[in-house]
Amino acid sequence: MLNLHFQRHAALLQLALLLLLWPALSLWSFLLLLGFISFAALQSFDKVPKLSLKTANIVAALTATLFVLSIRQFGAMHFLMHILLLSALLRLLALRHHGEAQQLVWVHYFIIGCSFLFHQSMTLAFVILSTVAANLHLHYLLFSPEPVPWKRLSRTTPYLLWIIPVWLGLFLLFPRLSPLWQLPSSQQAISGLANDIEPGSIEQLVQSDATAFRVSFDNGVPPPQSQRYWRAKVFEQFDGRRWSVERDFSKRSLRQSDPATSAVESISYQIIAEASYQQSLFSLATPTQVDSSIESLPAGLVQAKRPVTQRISYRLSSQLRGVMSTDQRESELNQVIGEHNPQSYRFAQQLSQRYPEPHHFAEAVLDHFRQQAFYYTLNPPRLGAQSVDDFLFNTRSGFCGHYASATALLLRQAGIPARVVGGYQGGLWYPEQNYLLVRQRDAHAWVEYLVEEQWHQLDPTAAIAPERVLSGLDESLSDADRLSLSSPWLASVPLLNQVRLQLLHLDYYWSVWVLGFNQQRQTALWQSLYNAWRDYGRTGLYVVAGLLALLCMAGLWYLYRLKTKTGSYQLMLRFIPALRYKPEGMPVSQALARLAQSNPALASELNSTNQLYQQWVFASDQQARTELFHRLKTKHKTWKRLQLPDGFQP
Amino acid sequence: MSALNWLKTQMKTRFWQRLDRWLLKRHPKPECYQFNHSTLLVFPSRYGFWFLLLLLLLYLLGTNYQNNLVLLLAYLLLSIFLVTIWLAWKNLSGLSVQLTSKQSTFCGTPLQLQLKCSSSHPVVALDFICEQQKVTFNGTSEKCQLTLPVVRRGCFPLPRIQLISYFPFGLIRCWSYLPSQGEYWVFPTPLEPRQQANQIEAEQDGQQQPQLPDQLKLYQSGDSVRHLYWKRLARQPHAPVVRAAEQQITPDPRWVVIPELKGPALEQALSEACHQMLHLEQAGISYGLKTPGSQIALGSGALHLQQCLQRLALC
Repeated sequence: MLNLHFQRHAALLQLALLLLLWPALSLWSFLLLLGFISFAALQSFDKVPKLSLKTANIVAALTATLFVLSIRQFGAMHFLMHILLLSALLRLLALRHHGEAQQLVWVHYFIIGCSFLFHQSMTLAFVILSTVAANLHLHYLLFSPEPVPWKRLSRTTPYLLWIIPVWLGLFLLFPRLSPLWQLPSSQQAISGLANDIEPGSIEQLVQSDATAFRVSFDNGVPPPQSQRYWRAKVFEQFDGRRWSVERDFSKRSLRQSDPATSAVESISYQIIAEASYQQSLFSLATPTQVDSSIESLPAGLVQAKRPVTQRISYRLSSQLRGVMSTDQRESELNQVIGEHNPQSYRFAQQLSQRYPEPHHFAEAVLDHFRQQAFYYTLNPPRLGAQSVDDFLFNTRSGFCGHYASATALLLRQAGIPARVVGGYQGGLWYPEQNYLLVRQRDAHAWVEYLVEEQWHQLDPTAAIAPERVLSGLDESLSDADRLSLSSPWLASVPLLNQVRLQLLHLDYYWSVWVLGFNQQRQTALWQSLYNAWRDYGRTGLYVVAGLLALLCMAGLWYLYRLKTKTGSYQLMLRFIPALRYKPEGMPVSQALARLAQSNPALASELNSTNQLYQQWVFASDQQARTELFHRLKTKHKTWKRLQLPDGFQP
Repeated sequence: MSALNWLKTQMKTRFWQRLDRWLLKRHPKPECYQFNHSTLLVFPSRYGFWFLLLLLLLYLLGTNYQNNLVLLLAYLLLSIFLVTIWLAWKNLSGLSVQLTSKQSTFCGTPLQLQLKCSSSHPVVALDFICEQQKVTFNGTSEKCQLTLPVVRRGCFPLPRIQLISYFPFGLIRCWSYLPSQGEYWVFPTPLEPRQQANQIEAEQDGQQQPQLPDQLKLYQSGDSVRHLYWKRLARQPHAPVVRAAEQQITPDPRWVVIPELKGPALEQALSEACHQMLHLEQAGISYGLKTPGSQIALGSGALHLQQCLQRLALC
């Protein structure tokens, strides 16, 4: 059983596992483990001998030491993956006994489970499920004498089919728990908006076509494009070039939502966010109700309880109004202007003398962008250390980050608290699938300024490139910029694009129904099952009872037919199975006599039955028929135990 | 400690007796054992419990990372485990086993237990285990042979044969027993009479072996001290000699006689008697058996031979 066949399959499976755990590995550890696998592959073709247990242990100890030394680089979870893979690979290299192969298969299952922590997309989920099938095959080889008998499998299929309802039933109904304890999480480069914005950072982000998150709205209608500002981060510290998140941001006290504003209509929606390896999440305007699985932050933001390493889904309700200020300190913090960008300071002073009212001032800044020769471009010229001065009075072309940065600074210089907000704007609405797709290329930056305890949203990009806000990035860019964004050959094949889009939709359903199934949904399912029972339970009971009654009647009718209508031959064969094996051409009476010979204990029984049978058949005695039927029925268990005489072939 | 051991053995025998009774009640026909829901036992194997631990670990992993796919995997494996219970039972259910062996052998020749298995569907990876012996059976209908090593003559109860299968994934152990019923006989090894052997030996190396007259033979433990040839003992203390028994002086070839001996001497005599009887039976001469305390009258035929051999086995 532990043949080369097993070895070959196991090496192939381990290669697949290694590739699946790629995100957890560094290049050198990947190559090292790959080396072990190729050694196992060579073994499976009998090119190199098996390792002795001692050698395997020494190699394992050395490699494990290497891993321990680089545990800082890996992080605890990736270290665990390394150790798991190492143990499986070396076990295969020194595989001798049946018991060791069992351990190997066991560890494979666990590694396959772990690989789901890194991949949740539908395609990869199917790949991983096929590795489960491969491991099941290995498992089968261990305990069965021959390879899977595909031809004979049809006999087992009805039993195998039971796996599916049991599986889904368990998934839907088995109790779910909230996390029992904290486990180390995967460390990977973050994606999405970083914790600071400098000229050029958002331009890089929009190069990516990857999905950032998807939203479905409870009422099925998204707010208009111009209101879809998904806030992720607020940047409140400015050093002349770079805006960054304030260091003590999360320590600020939360503000309770005041009841006076609860009259504003709120919208509820569900967001499925992709893995970003950071905590910040997305929300519209002012969130009022927040899922228990996520946390509220100051400034109306939300965040996950731990870095988002896999797709998560959460529900929110928001009111489409500006966020309220939390405290005095916040407004002071957002007035800091620093000692830089002197030209823009003078400009702000001049402008604020003409427009002392904050709203008018903000409008004046936007007018300035509109009236002067400002350009909106994805490839702006590089800016110096005094980035705002450089931008406003020199280059005059930039992306949303440039405009937001300049506007926020001008507002501050005019004495109005202001900050840059980072997030996403817009998104593509798919009415048939009923969800909004927000991609990384929708990344955006805009401005909020504080007037009387409330932050007002101001998007300077809307002034310079209104198409950007109204119909997305593609419309607002020049042809050259657009070309640099998407790979041209993909865009030029409409069929391929269509397929890609359909896969994207399928992936959405996968996220909603498989990945997003959580405790609340399960509770809702139980609730609906209970409701269904309450509403239709009684009816259901009647239906079941009716069906049972029908079945009983059908059974009785069948018995009646058997008793009165069935021919003699069929009747005997129906009750005495041994007669089915009699040689062809042998009459029933003779077969009964033969049976009586080979079953001496039942001989008298059989002989009298034979007599009744002959009376009925040859003398048409109806009395004998009734008696025969009665005898056949009452002794039906006896007839099944008959020993077959020679010549009867089962 | 010994009391504890005694209790243990007592409980063990009690247990097996009860099991046998339980099994016999469920097998209506003792000559052919049919295995179905009332006679097959099903329980997770040791690996099955390891597998359940794996499921628990996967469940915890899935719960702690709130990862539905890990949970899905755990449930998939659990449902496979559940279906395996069914498959394991289905594999053996409907199997019938017939014990067909003549249930007697000569000492030194292993006993062959013939098992005739038949089933309506192919049975996979079924092991018959009997006293550390293992035979694997695959397919629909086949004869299996278990060899039972025998060391002592006598009449022994047939050992309990265990049927066990871990098919298909080794997670579930499905097993049952063929109840221990009936007995098997181990007859003495037939050996050519000692004298002839001695003579041949003596011819081969005459120097070392003392030359003996016809009436004398070398002592072996168990020979009666009364027959010792004392004169010879003084001369050759390392090779004592006894007078051969009287019946060998006037042997009636039709009567096989077992003298009153003990130990290896008795074994020797029994083996020779066995050989003699087989010889007589083959030649078609009727013969009788005299043992200390009993005798079987002259006769011949297979039944007679068996009767005589059984008497020898019990001597």
